[in-house]
Amino acid sequence: MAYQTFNQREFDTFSQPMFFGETVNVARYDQQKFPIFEKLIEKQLSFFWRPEEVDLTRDRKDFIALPEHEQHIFLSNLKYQTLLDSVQGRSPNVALLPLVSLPELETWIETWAFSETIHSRSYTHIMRNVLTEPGKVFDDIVHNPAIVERATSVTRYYDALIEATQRFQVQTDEWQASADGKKALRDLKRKLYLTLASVNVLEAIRFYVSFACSFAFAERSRMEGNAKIIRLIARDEALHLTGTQHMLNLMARGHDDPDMAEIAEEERDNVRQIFIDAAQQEKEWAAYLFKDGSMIGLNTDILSQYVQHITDQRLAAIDLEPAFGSPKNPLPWMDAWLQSDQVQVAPQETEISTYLVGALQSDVDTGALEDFEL
Amino acid sequence: MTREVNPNASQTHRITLFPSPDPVTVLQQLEKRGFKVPYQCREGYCGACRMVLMKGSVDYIQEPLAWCGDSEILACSCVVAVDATVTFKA
Repeated sequence: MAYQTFNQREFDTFSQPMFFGETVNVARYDQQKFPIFEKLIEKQLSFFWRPEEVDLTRDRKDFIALPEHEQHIFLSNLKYQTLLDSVQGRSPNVALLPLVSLPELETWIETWAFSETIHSRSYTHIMRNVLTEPGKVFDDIVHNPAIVERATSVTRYYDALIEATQRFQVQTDEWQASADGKKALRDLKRKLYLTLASVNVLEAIRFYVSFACSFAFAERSRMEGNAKIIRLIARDEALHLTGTQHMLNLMARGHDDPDMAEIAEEERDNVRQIFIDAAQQEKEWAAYLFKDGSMIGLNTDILSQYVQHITDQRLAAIDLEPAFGSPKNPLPWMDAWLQSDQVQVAPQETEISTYLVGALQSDVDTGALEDFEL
Repeated sequence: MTREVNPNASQTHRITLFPSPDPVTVLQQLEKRGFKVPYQCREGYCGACRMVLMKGSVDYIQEPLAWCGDSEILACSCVVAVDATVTFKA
């Protein structure tokens, strides 16, 4: 059956799985099967920021003064992040929206992808401010072998899912109900599960090598405007990876589609391998960054240990065995940069998330007025 | 043969914490006792400080957004309600 933008059938939202059920009709949030996704939407909205809020004039001077190998580190990371967010700004929408069956999850996917477009715009903001010819750097993203290799591993699960979905959705209802159709659906569900795992890897591991470099520059008071932007991006990504962990865990623990619980069990080793392969690629990326020289406080070994630390942390979050013996965090200063209340922006320029939490208290008990005298 | 100890490997700790009169989170209590517990956002949405609650109970001072399994807690977002034994890697 083809995708319907407004499904006119009547159905109970609580009986729907996250994906592959009825297509969403009314965007309503009064009945929610998984309220966590609306909470993520609210948090994401409270995080709203604009790249232009961050002044980068000092970064331009800093960049010109950087030695060549550090300019390579800085620009390569920016290219890689540009690639990742180009993918993330569109792919959750293209791949997941045709399959989603819950309004709160549908809106979370849209909110999530929208925030990635802010990240993409911020890379242009950074490049415009730091470079005289940003065009060359962007052009290199599709030519640079180190980046292209990453692009393939980042996108192949998305592309396989999108292609299989398109094939499936043009088939007739009769075919979909046949044995072949059921087999194709099962395969599609498997593709979705693996895609979600690879997206979780993208947001929970792949970004962190770049984050570490940006914060390492700022630890030396270099490229601080950039670090401010990266910190806002890191805050968003932490929320996104939580969203994907919720989807994976709800499926694997049988809270959603029973087929998905079976697939999650069958794919445990494959999913773990996706994480391990990505960790390996990120270590290779670290070696590429530092090929002409490392930077103060960071080198390939330290960064590789950080990748292993974070990979094991992310594996544990979806109930998979650590792959690298849970090494300690070799970059303790990273945690401070990733801390939410350290994200400073002028209050008039942003929504302070803590202002929104419990800002209104309507439950006044009589004791509150005890000391009050007329 | 001596057993090699990897200095980079984290160890699993099992610690019992008690209710505190001040609103001190489980994470802060552990940090006061010198443990370098992994953390990131300290606001309940990243899940880095997720740990297992073996015994006792905790109260949440902010609603956690990160995934939490049945016996897991987010140390940054809760305080000890009843003497709580937690295990974590640090």
